[in-house]
Amino acid sequence: MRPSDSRRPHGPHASFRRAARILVPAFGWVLALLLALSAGPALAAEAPAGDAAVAFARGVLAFHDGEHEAARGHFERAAQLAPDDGAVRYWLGLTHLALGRPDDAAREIRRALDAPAGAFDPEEARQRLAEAERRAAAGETAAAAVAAPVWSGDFRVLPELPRFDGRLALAYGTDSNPNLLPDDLTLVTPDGDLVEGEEEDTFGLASLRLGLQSTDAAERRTVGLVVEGSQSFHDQFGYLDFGRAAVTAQVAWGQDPSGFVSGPLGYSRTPLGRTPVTFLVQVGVARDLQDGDALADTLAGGATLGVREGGWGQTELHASYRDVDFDADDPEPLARSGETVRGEVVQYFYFGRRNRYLRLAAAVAERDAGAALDAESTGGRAELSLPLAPRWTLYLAGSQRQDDYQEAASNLFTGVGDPREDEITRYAASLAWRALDALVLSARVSAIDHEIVTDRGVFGVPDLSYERRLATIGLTWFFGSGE
Amino acid sequence: MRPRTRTLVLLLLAAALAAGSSPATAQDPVGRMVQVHNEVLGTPPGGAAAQMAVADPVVLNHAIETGRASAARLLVGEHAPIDLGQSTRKVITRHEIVAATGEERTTLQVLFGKIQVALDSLFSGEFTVETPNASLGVKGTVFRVLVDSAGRTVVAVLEGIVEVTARAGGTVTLTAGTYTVVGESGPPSPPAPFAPSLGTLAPSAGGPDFVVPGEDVLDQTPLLDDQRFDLPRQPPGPNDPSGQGADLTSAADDPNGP
Repeated sequence: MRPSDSRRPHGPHASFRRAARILVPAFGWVLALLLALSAGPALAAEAPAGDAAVAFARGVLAFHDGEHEAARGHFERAAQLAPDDGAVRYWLGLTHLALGRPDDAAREIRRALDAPAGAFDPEEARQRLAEAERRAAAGETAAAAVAAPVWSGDFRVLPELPRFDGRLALAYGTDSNPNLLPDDLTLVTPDGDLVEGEEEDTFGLASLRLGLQSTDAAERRTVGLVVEGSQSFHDQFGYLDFGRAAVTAQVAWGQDPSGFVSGPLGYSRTPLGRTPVTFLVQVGVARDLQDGDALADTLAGGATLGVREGGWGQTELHASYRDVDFDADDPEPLARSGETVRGEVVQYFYFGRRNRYLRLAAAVAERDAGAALDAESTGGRAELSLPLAPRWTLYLAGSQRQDDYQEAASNLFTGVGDPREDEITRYAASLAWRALDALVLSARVSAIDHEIVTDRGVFGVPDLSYERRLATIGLTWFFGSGE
Repeated sequence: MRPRTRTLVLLLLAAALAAGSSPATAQDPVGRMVQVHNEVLGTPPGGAAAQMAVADPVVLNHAIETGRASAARLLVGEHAPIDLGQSTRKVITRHEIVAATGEERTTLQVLFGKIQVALDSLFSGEFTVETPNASLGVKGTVFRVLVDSAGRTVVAVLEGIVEVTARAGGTVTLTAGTYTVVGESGPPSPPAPFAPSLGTLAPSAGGPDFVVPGEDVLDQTPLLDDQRFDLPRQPPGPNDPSGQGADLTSAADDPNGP
């Protein structure tokens, strides 16, 4: 029997999902298009910033020397080269005022006040604007003595850690086997349809991360709070729409050259810099939803210790604890609620750049849940970060994990015999293009092979091993970070 | 008297290069002050310290100091605006112009504090920056240097390329958007981007591209939970004495045991 149109679910949740399946990818592409169009001039060939700086310096000297026409030429050149620099517009405005052109002066000072950046005193600029407008209204076109503006001149060598930053990610793609079925097993969906083995579906994925952080420079300590949410939307199998909402509190000691430290509960921003050791402690809660209904609540904690070995490498130790409480749990021995403790050792090898590295990790974990799910895990992961060009990065990741179940009850069908053993192999590749400073477009492929080895006894119970392939395209928008 | 941190700029005369170059003499101006904020003292060679003003000439061996909450901008030659932040000591050890080609050769020494240099596209020649523990060969346009109180040198490149060589050995090449830290001893750190966002997309940082829906909570197909006891009978195996196959119920549910 083929899946029928009756598979389409009903109700308010279903309507939202259908709308979201269209709107999420559509929004993503419209956003990308708008950002690309608005940044078109920025993507055009840019003059070196030094040209604008030299033109500006010459303009200031000419202004001081009373050569206002020459100064006007230098400032106009600087404004062409650095149209977003408010200070250049401001000085150009004052030059127009000195030349007896109050209308032009008012126009440029307004532009300066609207500019996204500029090293000048806005209050002083508003006073000068009022003067220019007064002169323009009075028709005063005689040259005037104009004092140079106040200049503070301070700057930062490296960007400061922002107090707030965020990340919105949208993706759309295909999943070859969202039901995690072996190819020869047919089961019934919650909607009453049949799923015959591997059946592909398209899905959208939206995730949002909001981070608040505050740094005590003297103590080199960064305190942060992260709020995250994600939601997947499947075209056919709506009951597989998973959502997650999580809050994590974290404290990091030290500075990392990359500006963040990765821990078991996600990453924590740190100030840019280099300390021999970094330490991160995290505590978080999360709620998982399936098809809009509560699925599980998680309480988690983690700690990370990082030690830098010169410029070539870094060693990290991770420890984490998770207590997962499933909402509608099965009774023993199939209860999924329980605790997991995990430890991991990580070694980075850097190849000439901080963002070109090989990351190798080995982990052990122990899960204590229902007897059928008690398991000990061992595994390894490898990750390669390859900057291909200034704005292109290729990420490759592979992992293998073996779960050794402890009890015969892990054999779901027979309940006897040798405990179950799972071997999970994952590969993933992502190509990221930083199209704009705050927008990254990416393409990803993932492959998961989950081999389930159980004692199938003499009754021919099905092999639950499955394969899964995912391919997505996505965009990630960073905001609040000042990058 | 409260101690002051100062920015010091000394312009020192270096030996002349091969024929064709014209090194500045002690009194030839090598630049002019462009902007001044608060306390900026200039001590010419053999002279007394005096507050600098806009358009004042800057000569070789000219000591320029900025105090706390102070700043200065000067234009060295025709193509090199240099900003001095607060609490900075800077030394220009060479400034020469090759007459035949118009190339400028400048060496700048930063003892303490922070500077920004923005070379324009017409600059040709050599621009070198030296710190207590590093030397920078500049091939690009805009970069910043910080020498902090711990004696570390931080170099950040906004545009162009800068090669940073540690006095203890080791060289890194910085491109736009990257920075390095040179400790009191040891090589420069590997160039790192000072925009962390792209790095947070890595798998180890929980990058969105590596999220698989439901992976965190699903051990196996969610369809099996309610159907474990309803799966169709399997064909009888060779060891099935009944010849009728079997219900795929758990043996634990069978009161007669396995």
